[in-house]
Parts: sequence; C-alpha cells; structure tokens
Amino acid sequence: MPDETMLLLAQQTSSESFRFNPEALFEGVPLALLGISVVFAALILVSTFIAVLPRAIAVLPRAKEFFARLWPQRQARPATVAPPPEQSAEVPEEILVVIAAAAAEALGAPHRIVHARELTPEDIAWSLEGRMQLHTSHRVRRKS
Amino acid sequence: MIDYLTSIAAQVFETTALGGISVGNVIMIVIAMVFVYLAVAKHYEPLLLVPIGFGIFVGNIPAVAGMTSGIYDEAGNLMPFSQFEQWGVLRYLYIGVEKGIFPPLIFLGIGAMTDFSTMLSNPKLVLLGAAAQLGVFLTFLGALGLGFTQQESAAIGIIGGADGPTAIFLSSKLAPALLGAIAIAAYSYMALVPVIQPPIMRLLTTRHERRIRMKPSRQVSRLERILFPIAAFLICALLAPGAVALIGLLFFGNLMKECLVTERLAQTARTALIDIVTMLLGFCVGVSTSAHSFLRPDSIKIFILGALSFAVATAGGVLFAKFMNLFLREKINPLLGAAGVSAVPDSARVVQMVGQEEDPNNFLLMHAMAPNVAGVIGSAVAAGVLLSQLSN
Repeated sequence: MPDETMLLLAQQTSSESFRFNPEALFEGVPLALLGISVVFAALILVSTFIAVLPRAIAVLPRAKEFFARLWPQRQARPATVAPPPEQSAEVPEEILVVIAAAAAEALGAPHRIVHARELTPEDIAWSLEGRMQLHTSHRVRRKS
Repeated sequence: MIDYLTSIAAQVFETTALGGISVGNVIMIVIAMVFVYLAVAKHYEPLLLVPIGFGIFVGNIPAVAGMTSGIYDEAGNLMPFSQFEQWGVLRYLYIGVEKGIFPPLIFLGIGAMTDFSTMLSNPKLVLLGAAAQLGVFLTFLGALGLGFTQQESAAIGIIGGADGPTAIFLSSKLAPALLGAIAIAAYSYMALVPVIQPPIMRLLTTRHERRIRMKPSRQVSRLERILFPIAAFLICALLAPGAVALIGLLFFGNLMKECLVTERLAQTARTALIDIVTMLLGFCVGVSTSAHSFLRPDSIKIFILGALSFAVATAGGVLFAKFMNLFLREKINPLLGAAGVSAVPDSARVVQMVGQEEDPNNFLLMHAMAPNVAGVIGSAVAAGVLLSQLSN
C-alpha cells in the first residue's frame, strides 16, 4: 500500500474511527448475556460433576457389596492358583499359598495367579554383574 | 558502456524487493526487532515471540512480480484457493491458520500437559474461570460500540480469554482480515500479564483479603482424573457445540495423559507435536502481518480493546471471588479470581507473587492453577458460543 494512503488512514484514526456508538453496543447485549450464561452453565455443571464424583466413587464398593448380597452367586470368587508350570515346581506349596493370600489382599478383585517360580542365580546374573561393576568403578582412596 | 551498466543495474534493482519496500514495511521490521529483543533479552514468551517476530520479518518483504512467495499477492490480497498453482510454501503453511487447523492441535498438546487435579480437588474455584470470561463479552460490546461488525467484535472480545490459540481459531473463522492484529494483541498482552494484572488485583482487594490462606488440596484418585475429561467434554460440547474442535482435542489430550496406557501418545502430543505446531502457528501469524494488513486504524482499536479485555477479565474474576465469599464459610483468597484469565501459568504465577507480597508464607500457586485451567475451558466455551451464533 502506498505511504500516502497510510498517512490518510492515520489522520482518520484520530477523529472518525474512535467515535463510540451506544446503539450498536445495545444490539450485542442479548448475545453477550447468552454467551456468559452458557459459559457459567457449562462450568457450574462441570463444578457440580467434580463435587459429586468422589462421593459417587466412594459409594461404588458399598453398592457392589449390596448387589453381591442380593445375588450370592455373583460374589467375588476366591483367588485361585493355576496349576504351576513345570519350571516352578521348586516353589513349595506353603509359599504359593502365602503368595495367593498376599495377592488377594492387595488386589481385592477376583484374579488368577498364572505363574510363580523362584529366581535362579542365572536370573539375577545381569543385575549382579551391573552392581559389581558399579561397586568396583570407584577407586577408594586411603585417608591420610 | 555507462548506459549499459545503468540499464543492467536497473534490471537487477527491479528483481529485488528494495523497490517495493514502504515506510510501513520498515515500521513492521522495527516491531519485529522489538519482539525478538523482548523474547531474547527479556524472556517475554520467547516460544511465541521469536516465531512471530521472525514471521513479521518474512511477511514484510514486498512481493515482486512473478515471485510471489508470501501469502499475499501483489495487490495485497490473500492469495485465493483458485490460484493455488501460484502458491509458495508459506501460503500452503498458512492454511493451518486460515482454516483453524493449528489451534486445536495446540489444545491437544495443552491437554496432554495439563494437570486438572488442583481443580478437581476444589470445584468451587472452577466458577472463577467462568467469571473471568466477563472480559470477553464486555469487550465484545465495546468493539460493537466502536463500529466493528458482530463477527469482528466477537473475534476481538476473545482476546480477553487470554488464550492465543482460541483467539486465532475464532478470528480465522469470523474475522480473517483482523487475524494478524488480534493474534499479536493476544500474545503481547499475555506476555504483559505480570504488568497488567497486579495493580488491578491490589486495587480491588484489601490487605486482609490478600492474606487469606487456602486449605491444602486433597489427593485426587486416578479414576476421577480419567472420568473428568470424558464428562467435562460431554458437558461443554453439548452446551457449546461450536467449541467441539478445541474442547475435544483438549480433553482427548488430557485423557491420553491420565489413562496411563497411552503414555507414548501423550508424550508426543505434549512435546514434539505442540512444539512443531507452535513454531508453524507463530511463524504464519507473523507472516500475515504485512504492513498493509496490520498498520491500520483498526489495529490500534484492537490493541486498546485488548488491554481493556484483560483488565475487565482480571477485575471480573477478583470481584466474583469476593462475591462468592459473601456466601462461603471457608473464604477463598480473592486474588485467585485473577487466575481465571487463562494465560497458563502466567496469571497463576502473578497470583502467587502478589499473595506473597503480603504474606511470604502464603502459597497460592497450586490453588491458582484451578481457576487458571478452568479459564482455558471457559474461554473455549465462550469461543464456541460466539462461533455457533455468528458463523452464518
């Protein structure tokens, strides 16, 4: 755009452009009221949902218990231990029972333990090697 | 020989952009230098001001006949789709701004990095995010009074939402001619939040109110965090369907973050994706501010209205917090209302700063994040309402 036009625009800025027209303003009032109402409605609903949510979550276990009492066959099945695979044969039965009890206590919900076996020295070889390297990486200085 | 050399020099000069450079272009280049200076030396919103500033440099190189590499043709009009064979790469990139593609992608990244837990632990504070949107609608009225059309006024008003992507999204849909000025005003005032807000906050609150301490937030469960984005999206999108693109991607990003099984996607959204889109968005907005489209009386009015909208939004939030205190047994610190202006996290930081001036042991930052992120939702809903009412 030529510079003369810019100068002309600058002159217009000072006078006509900043004339305030209250009538035009009033035309927009209904939309402004609608807009702020929708914003408040949306955020009031969001706020209500947030306030109700923890209470609803707290009621859930009690509702579960209630329905479990109504229909006993739908009660949570006790934790079951799958027949141990061949390589876990070395885990003693009493240890398996303890693991099953701990899992049932921690998880609560019905679950199935699929696999349990003892760690062999081969299993921990990598971490053992890493730890050894770490420990031997420092040169210990004698205090004078 | 001299004639020959003169004619050659004239030919060379014609192929350069030097002949077409105007005083306006020089002014814009100086403005770009100020932007880059503020970003580099003063650290004011550098991630935005550097791309925008450099984009202004690029956008103010005048077009030369047969070499239209910018987004405007030689007559200064945005190159239309019918002439896409002549488009340069910048014009193709500008489609992301023109068609409102970049802002929702930025919202995806924002969603993937936002922690809504402070808001979930204190639902009352959500309302402050709504109150701060008063700035949007009062500025809308002010712009109408100053002679802008309803569509232009809506796009100008949304500057008060203090949300750059939302402002760009709405102006690309309702007032594309004003996009450059609106985007620059929105980002400039966002950078100036620490200057604009504190005097208004101090003016509207007493010393006693500024010293009010908030109760520590409660722990929010994972289930709450997962259910929130789904429910909040359904509520907001059903009430303001115009904001589906913005709100949808915001909450989609947040669900990816909170459900913990899409960590890779959330990580990409909050790092690589948002960085790429921010670069392109900022740069393209800068490119669109060539002198003939930016140096107009309307731009001055937009800047004045933008400052007004930030001030009204801040005042609206603070006064609404005081109003809420009339009914609450456990009072909230009214400074938190100022954080309803959704400049995340700048306005929350300002609340912390002003609060600590009165009581150095009062930590309001985490509480201020609640109205701050509620403000992001509020401004997107406000944009949705304005878009659905005015897009026809």
